[in-house]
Amino acid sequence: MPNTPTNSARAAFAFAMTLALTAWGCADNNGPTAAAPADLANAAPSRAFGIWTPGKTDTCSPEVHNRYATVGPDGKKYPTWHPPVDPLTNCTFGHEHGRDPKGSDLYAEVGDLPFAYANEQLDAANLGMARHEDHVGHKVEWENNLRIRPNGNGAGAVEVECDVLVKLHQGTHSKDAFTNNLHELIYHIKCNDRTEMHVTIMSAIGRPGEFVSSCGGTVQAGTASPANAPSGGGQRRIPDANCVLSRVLVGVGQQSDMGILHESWETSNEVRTAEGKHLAGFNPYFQVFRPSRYFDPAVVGVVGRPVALCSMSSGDRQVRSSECNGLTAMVNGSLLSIDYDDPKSGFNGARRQVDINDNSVSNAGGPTVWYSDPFGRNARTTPFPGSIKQVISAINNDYGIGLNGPVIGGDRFYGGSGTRAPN
Amino acid sequence: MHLRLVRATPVQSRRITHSDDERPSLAVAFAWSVALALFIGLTVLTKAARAQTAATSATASASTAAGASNASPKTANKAPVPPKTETSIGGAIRQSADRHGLWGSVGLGRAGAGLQCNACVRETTHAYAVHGIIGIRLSSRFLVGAESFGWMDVMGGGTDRVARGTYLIARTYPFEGSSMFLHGGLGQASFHTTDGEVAFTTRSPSLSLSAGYDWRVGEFTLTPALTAVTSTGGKLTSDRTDNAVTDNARLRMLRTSVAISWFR
Repeated sequence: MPNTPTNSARAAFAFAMTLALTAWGCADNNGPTAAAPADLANAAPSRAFGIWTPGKTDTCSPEVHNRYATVGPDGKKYPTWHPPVDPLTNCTFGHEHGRDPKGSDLYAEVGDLPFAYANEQLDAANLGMARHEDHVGHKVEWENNLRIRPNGNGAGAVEVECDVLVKLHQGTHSKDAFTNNLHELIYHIKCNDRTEMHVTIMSAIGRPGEFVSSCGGTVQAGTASPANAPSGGGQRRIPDANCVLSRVLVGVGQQSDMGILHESWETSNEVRTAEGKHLAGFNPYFQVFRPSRYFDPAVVGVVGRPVALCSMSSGDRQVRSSECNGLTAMVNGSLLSIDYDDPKSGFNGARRQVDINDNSVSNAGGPTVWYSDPFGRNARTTPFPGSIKQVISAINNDYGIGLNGPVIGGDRFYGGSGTRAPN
Repeated sequence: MHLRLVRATPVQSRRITHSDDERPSLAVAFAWSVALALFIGLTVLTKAARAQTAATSATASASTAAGASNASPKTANKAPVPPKTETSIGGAIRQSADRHGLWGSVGLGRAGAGLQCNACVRETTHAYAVHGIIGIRLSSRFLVGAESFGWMDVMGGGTDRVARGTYLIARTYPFEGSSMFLHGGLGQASFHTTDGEVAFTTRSPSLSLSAGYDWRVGEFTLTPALTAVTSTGGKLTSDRTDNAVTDNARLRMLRTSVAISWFR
């Protein structure tokens, strides 16, 4: 067939389409979300990278675990979300990080979450303090198309729809949070009223050295690390021995209140300028049901284990709950509980929920990119040592009522597949 | 740090009680709307009458007195123009009515209304609506005037919603020998909603389209009609802080009504 102008045009069009589709396909595959293998290989490790080691029942090696990494804004290599079971080798990690962020509508924008990036920046901020957290405590939760009616009914007019992706380091297996109030929080939210925040901070939750008992009252638990950690709003509600024993060990005919084995970390966060101008705020509450610890100053290490309560008695008072079924055994005439880190224990902190509260933006006409210190303070428009880039939409979303949202994650359970305390 | 704490609790439905001065404000709002429509109508009529007066003074031709008609515009026989000059508003209206014919309509109906925008509650609620029209006949098949409506969803439910609109309208009777009409209006509409604690309002240019029928019953004309109202979209702002949830909140309404109309 002769090469007519029409055929040439068709060929050119086809070639252009092929190029466009190829470019689109490449962008779709590599995207802005996943770190390139070469970048990962060349990146220097952060303090948080490679710190996990398998326990006695975990079948994955550290090498398998370290494949789940991403590159942070500082070019360093950070651990990131992974499933509790490695899909390539079927080995188990024994811990979980919550919901796979790749399902979030925000993932395409924000990519893999670098765990402990704010902790790393705190090291670089020259604030005279350091805070490093374990690996297993990083917990991700997200929800797409979350509908929020301010004030409950939105005055009959307003119903904001949001995508939320959040990560808090919430370790509920050790003594760490009895005294330490600094925990890394990554908070992404994008709503159709133009509310948008992409914030990473060290959230100061309550005061250092103490926590609030689940039964009420403040418990002085020791010295925080770092000792000069700033106080923050909110509180960490954690069960303590007095509270737990009074509710769980009950007499004949009564039912144990296992619900007291519940932690609620009620955060109150803000990004503000050096002059004190409020730019953004958000107060999510992170709740954990059936954690693997409670505060018990009577035992070495001050950590009591809920599963141990299943074999405990005081006179006729004992745990009377189906949650202890299968967790005890008679050994040489003694009733013993399984180990706290046994995968059979339901006290593993794998049931959680997040309450989305108070998403405020006061940045009308302002820049959308700010750099704050790791606590969200001293925000300015240029980076500085230890600063973290925060993205805040240029609006003011104060409608006179709070953008308090519903609970997310309450219907999900991340246990199973070898997941166990510490988790 | 931000010290305000909000404990997440299940949303409780709240019963909103109205203070004594809230409901009268709705009536006042509608009264203002009707008054505005009347003012616009009177202004149009006055200007038309004055223009006519100037024309008739120039010709100074005698003519017979005009006869009034209470028929619908399809059957009205218009009388010749009176030569007398009037400068008062009442006189101008009389002159215009004599030459062109006045028409008016007051109606009651039921309407479903709601807002459309990304961040709006996607609900249509139904409530009673009232409307009023006043205008002049330019010909037996073409009328112009001003219309105002009010829609008030204020009877319980915890949230009060009020929609209002004021339009300059044109009506035509497109079919010869039929009393069926179509009319369209251009104006402004607003939607206001409150739960007693906070309120949101949007206001933007609006389009109104109606189809109806003039049904002569004795001395009256009953006018059933179906009206669709939409607006071009405007800011939905909090009355408390004046911050906008969106820049593109549109009112949509579908109203059925029956009006008592008169044609003079």
